[in-house]
Amino acid sequence: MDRKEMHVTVRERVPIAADHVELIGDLFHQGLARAARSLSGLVGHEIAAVDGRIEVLPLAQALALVGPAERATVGVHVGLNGQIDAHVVLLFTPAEARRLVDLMLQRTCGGTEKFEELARPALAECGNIMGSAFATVLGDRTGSPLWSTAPAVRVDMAQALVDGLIATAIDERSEVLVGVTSFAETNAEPQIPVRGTFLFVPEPDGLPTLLQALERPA
Amino acid sequence: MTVATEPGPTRLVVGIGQLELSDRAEQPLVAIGVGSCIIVCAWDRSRRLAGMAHVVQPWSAHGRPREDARYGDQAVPLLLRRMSEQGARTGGLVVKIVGGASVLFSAPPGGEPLGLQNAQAVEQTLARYGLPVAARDVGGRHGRTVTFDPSTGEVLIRTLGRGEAKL
Repeated sequence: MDRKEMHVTVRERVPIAADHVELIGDLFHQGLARAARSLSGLVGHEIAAVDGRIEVLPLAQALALVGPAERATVGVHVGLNGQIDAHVVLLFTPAEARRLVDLMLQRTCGGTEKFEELARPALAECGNIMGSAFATVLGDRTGSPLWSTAPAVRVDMAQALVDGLIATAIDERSEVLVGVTSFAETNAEPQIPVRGTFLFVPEPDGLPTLLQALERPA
Repeated sequence: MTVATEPGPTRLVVGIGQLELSDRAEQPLVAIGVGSCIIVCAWDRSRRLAGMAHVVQPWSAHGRPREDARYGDQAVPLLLRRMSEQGARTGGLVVKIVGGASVLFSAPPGGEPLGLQNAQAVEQTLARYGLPVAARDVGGRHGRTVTFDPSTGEVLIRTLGRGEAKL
């Protein structure tokens, strides 16, 4: 393939400014609140986002968010496309993922022992919910609709799940704007929290459009 | 970048976008949890010198020459220069490449998978320097951990649930 035909060539990108991070942080929290409501409705228990934050991180630190690089991890990816492109990724340890599937399928705790036929669609649906929440919030704020891609669910090494995704988002200084949170079932009895890592990664090429929209009054 | 000549840990981890050399049998070079990235392993048989680059993206920005192991088009000449500085004959290097998978995220809309682009960029750049790829384990939908032995030039690939393979 000729170099001119390559689709992912790193362009000159403007470093991400601190005030931009704050603006996108507000949007991120709106998306999280919407996603948590939808997820709570689906599982029939209250699910809340915990410690949600937007950060600009060097590439290595962004990758460290997923935990030990080689650890077996369940990943769910949904792409958001439109005037702005972004990614939402859910990451769980296999035990956490099984607990979430138990909740979604209304099984007793420990009912899901492996990723059988129903587990993957259940996790994909979870990804759909998170993706749709962020597509709605971003679309409403920018006045331009976004659509989400079909969710992908994989079990593999933690870093292998996200290295390409995060690499596409690096800016000129090799830093990445990433939103991260955990979410937990708040009223579990007995208290067995569902914890996962949620990443929101907007692609830098769409950031100027997003920032213009955010600087306008809501 | 460092050349591992002092006593230290038993392996030298080559992080994303990094480049390392080792000429110590007891200090293999390791890249952990590789997805779409490409790991370039170059070995000088006579010096027992191994060099590894952990490439993140295929091409660097147009019109901005610099040495940066993140990009395939720059990692290759940088690796060759560093190995030459350590006495390697770059024309006789044995080169193997690993990675380039589409694990969870495969491609931008309408685009070619990033892992495939990374592999192509590295191979094209190696060809410009007259270096064929002696062995490759590229593509697929699974992550890999890559261990490169400076004493033998052997590359061990470990996967999750798919066992190990040697190049």
